[in-house]
Amino acid sequence: MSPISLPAAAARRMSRLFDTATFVWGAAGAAALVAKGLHDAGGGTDWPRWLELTYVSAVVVAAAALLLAGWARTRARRSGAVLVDERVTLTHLRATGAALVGALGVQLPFFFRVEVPSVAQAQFTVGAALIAYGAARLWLNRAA
Amino acid sequence: MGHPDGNQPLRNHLKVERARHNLTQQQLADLVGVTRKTITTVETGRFIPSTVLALKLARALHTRVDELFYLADDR
Repeated sequence: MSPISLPAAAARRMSRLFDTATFVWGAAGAAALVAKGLHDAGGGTDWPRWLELTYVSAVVVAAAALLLAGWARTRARRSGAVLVDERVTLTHLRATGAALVGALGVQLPFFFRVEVPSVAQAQFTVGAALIAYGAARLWLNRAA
Repeated sequence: MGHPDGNQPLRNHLKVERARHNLTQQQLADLVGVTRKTITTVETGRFIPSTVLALKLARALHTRVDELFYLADDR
């Protein structure tokens, strides 16, 4: 019999599923925000077909991933999996710093008279923060 | 995840001690209440554990913290 008990293995599977679903939620959320931002920046009238498809797909994937992440988190906690420890907390803090840099960096064009509606600017800002956060977490978790 | 001091990185015998006790990374992680990735990054020196975690690791491996962790210049 394997030294790893079934509940422990299930807890680890749930933990991995939670990580993956959270990442997919962030990536799809960022894609939806950027797609909506591009639409709103263009005047917010007609949707180009590819942009509309991107937006709708991203919203559907983000919603599904969020539900999945919530379910996996609950199951993982019930089965005793460790989801957060000091390294995860430190990674989160450093990734949050990267998200701040991303959010500030995306403001640069707006200092040079690039004018978009404020709603589009907000969407680009949050999208950039999500992308920077996810990229930083991937980088910090490399080869771990 | 940062060396505390570029000139004196923290080294450890975690991998050796873990192997001596015939534990996998996951088993050691379960013993001290962290994720497997945390054990990996401590072993490779990419993450410097807190004092609390270092004490827990030492206790789980039946050794002392100063035998588990050392500064590069000390040995």
